[in-house]
Amino acid sequence: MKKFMTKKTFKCFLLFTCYLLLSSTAFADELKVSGFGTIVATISDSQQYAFRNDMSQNDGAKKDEIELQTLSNLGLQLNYSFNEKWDAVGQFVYREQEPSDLDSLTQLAFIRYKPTPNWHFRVGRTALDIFQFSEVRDVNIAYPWVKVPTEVYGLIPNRNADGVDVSYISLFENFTMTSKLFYGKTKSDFSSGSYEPIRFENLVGASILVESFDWRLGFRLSQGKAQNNTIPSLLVVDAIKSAEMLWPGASEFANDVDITGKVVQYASVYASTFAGPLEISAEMAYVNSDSIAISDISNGFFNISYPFDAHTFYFKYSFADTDEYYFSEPVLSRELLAPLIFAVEEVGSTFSHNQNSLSFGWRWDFSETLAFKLQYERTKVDARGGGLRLREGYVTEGDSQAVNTVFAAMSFSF
Amino acid sequence: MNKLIAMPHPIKTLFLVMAFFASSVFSAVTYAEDEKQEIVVITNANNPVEKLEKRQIIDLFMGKYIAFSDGRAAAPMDLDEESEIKSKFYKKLVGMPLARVNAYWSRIKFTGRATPPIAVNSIEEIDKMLSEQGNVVAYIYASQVTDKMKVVYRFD
Repeated sequence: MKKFMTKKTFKCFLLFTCYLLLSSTAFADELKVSGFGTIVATISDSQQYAFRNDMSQNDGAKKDEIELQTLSNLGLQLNYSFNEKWDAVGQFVYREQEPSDLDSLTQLAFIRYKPTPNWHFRVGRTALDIFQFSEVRDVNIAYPWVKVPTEVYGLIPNRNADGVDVSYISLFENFTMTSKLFYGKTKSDFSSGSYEPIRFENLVGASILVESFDWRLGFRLSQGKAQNNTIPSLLVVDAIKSAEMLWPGASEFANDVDITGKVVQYASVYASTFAGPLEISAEMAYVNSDSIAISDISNGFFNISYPFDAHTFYFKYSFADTDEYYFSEPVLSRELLAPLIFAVEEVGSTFSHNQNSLSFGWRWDFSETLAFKLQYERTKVDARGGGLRLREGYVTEGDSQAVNTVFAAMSFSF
Repeated sequence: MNKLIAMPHPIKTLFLVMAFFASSVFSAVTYAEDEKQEIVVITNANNPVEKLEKRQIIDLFMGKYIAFSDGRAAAPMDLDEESEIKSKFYKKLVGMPLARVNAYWSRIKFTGRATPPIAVNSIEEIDKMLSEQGNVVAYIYASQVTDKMKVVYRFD
């Protein structure tokens, strides 16, 4: 069993101390201090495809190991109200993140202006709102599962965006509609061995959320322009350019692999409703780009929950589906270029996720602010489609495999 | 208890039946007493708002639209998480136990979209806030309504 490092324990202690100090200051009336956290134990039965929460994580739950860090976190939130129209929010989340500095810990840091109850303007760092649960993916107590579906949320580790957004709430007879536009920039790590963030600028998005109390529809569209490659991609791009003699059109192809300046688009449709005692929800999402390195991905999930008093039982199916990438460019000698072709296929397959998961779980709220969760998940990973898992070896050499994972979580808020 | 065990069988059966009957009657009376405790939603007596729809109360207390229909900002108030009325209120309002209400609010609060209703510990604190702010909206038992308050919604 892994132990929390002393440094990590210290950071948790620091967040808790801040909470105690801030909640006892003279600003208590205007300053609201709250927080959330979760401790999750994860056990998986695969050495080849260890479980990780998203593509930024360099460590995960491997075979015969009780893993405690992948999904555990602690968050502290400060809300300060200047007056009826102005307020500020800061949120700091400690989880398995790299690097673990102030910038990385800061999940929210914005000032909001509400000229009327309908209009909200925010400037600063806000949670990235590209899929339905993107904004609350680390707030474990907010959803029934132990984790948000990896097939949808694991491929985009980005948590927040620095910029501006504006929301307008429209009231109708039986529902409300919230329309939102945002603009900014974001960055996140997609590597499995070191910290090599990809920065996205000109991030622009729009969402419409139509909801009554017992049903909800969400539509989201967003896009961002990548500013740099990961180091492996950069090396491959340079290698392709230098292979022009054996590969007519190599420079053009190198440009297709290079993600610098390429636009990545995200789309999502979400719906949820109650059907008798059951709550049914589903999300379909689509990611595409002009680069070979970021494949077009269809993904989604379908969930049925049965809430019964303090208990919720659920069944969830989630999937990520991508066309496998095989090198098919006309070259003069495949033999001589074999190592390069292998590297191109590896870059082209890193985001070609092909896996699906069936999950069963139980959530027990034994107080208003404390919940226990238990989840079993069976994930079928296709050959060359295991980019979401923490792998031993290359993606292109990965076999098809079914992996069983069990999670036990204790979630709380304060 | 030892005496009960030592009783002859028919007397013991009769005793248990009577005890069960007595406890059922007591439960029914208690339940009826609870039912008499009608929950109402109130605001300041000087607030121009005369009536709220259930949908509006859901919007106010679930952070969807925290204002009155004329566009003035509202200040919904909650009671302490241990209070019995809070549990009853949310059950009547949205049919959820408090744990699920808290899970719902976690989604709203920790994305920074809205802040939950101001939580107070007693009816006296609601009374005090009501005197200071005309836009307070709170839930109390009907028997606790005072002259300073105006009932804007009654649960059926």
